[in-house]
Amino acid sequence: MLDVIEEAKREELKAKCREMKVLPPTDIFIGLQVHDKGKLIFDDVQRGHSWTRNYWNAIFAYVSNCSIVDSSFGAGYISCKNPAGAFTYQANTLLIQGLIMAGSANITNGIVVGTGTSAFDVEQYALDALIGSGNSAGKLYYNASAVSSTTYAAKAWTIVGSRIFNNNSGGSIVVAETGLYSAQGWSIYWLFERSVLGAAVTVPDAAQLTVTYTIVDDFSAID
Amino acid sequence: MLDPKEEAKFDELKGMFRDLKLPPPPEIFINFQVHKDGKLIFDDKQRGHSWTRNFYNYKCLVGTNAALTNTGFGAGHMSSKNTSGSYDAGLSAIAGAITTGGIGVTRGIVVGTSDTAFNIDQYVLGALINHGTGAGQLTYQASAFDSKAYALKVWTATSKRIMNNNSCGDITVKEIGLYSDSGGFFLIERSVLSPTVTVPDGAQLTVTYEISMDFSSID
Repeated sequence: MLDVIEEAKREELKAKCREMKVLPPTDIFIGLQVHDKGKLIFDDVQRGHSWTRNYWNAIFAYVSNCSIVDSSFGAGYISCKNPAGAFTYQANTLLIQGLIMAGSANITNGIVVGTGTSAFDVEQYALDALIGSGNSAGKLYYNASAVSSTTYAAKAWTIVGSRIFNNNSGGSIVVAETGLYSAQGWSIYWLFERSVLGAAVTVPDAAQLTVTYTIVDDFSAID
Repeated sequence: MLDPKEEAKFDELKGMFRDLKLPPPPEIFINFQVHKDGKLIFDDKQRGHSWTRNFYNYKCLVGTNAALTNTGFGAGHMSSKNTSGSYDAGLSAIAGAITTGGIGVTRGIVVGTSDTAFNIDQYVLGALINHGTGAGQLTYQASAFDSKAYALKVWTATSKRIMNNNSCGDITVKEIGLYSDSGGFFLIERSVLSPTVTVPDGAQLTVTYEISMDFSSID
């Protein structure tokens, strides 16, 4: 569920960006739907806004063309950590891609889900408790995902991508966090965004969870 | 010269981003120094804030793998135009705002003589000053990423380019831009200068781009 006060603050910020003709922040909305036996049993939209240090550093490196080569992590370092906690980098020619695109059963890039409820911290580089892909206890089967639409309306570009997770585990699974693992050149993976869900999502056995990321860039400052 | 009113507005804007813990927009400052006979005869700092549509579109596509359409350019088109005016899918792999500029004018920091007002759909400088020693030309030195620094919770990346005037006449620089090299060449920022910069014959112009990003909402 969207927070009315936060939405108002964001509108105010976007208006200020328009006035000054500067890039507004990218908006992310996370749609969560659970279908069970052909029926929609859960339907919610939440705002995703928990960009990690990996994302901040990658964006700065992109616009400035500096390399992500520091071997410490935190304030004062331009570095990125992969989900295993190791420093990985791509010197120069930074290519950020694959926030949404992922192959079947792939849990290293694209939209991922977990059961962790620990509060968001900007230094996080992996989901708190990633749900693995599979059909055994505690696992969800990750389907392939890709961008499904790129549309322009009301001076905003909206890019949508979904991923379907099937629960063939024999028991219910509670999804409490979602994330975006980015693929750099398809070989280096970084957590760019993690959202602890305001309302956790229970996926009953044999049910299907659809997570839809909607990424919106407001162009009204220039269009 | 920096405008105190504009700077105050930017500070206010950054405060709003901090409040929401969001990455603020990257800022650009451009320093100009002219040396002649070993003496500094001009020294100025201006804010660069004229990102082009090429930059906006790339920023929008970052990370999503959405496709460029390349069927038109302007509002409602997710496309890119290179400095030749052709659509070019190379934008999907744009290298960065400050690119290594070899000798010449196809990439990196470039300057021109046009004072045509900035327009978001521009894809080339208004009147690029060519590389050379002929009339109206400057000799562009190679440039590279210079340094990055962290202070007061702000990251600043710096890149520099030197241009020598061996043209036998004065040259007035009125615009500056960044040509990104990503297979094709793309104008991603253009600033019309105020004041303009006169480079006398035999003088040397040093342009320093500083791109900074305020990390204070997370650091």
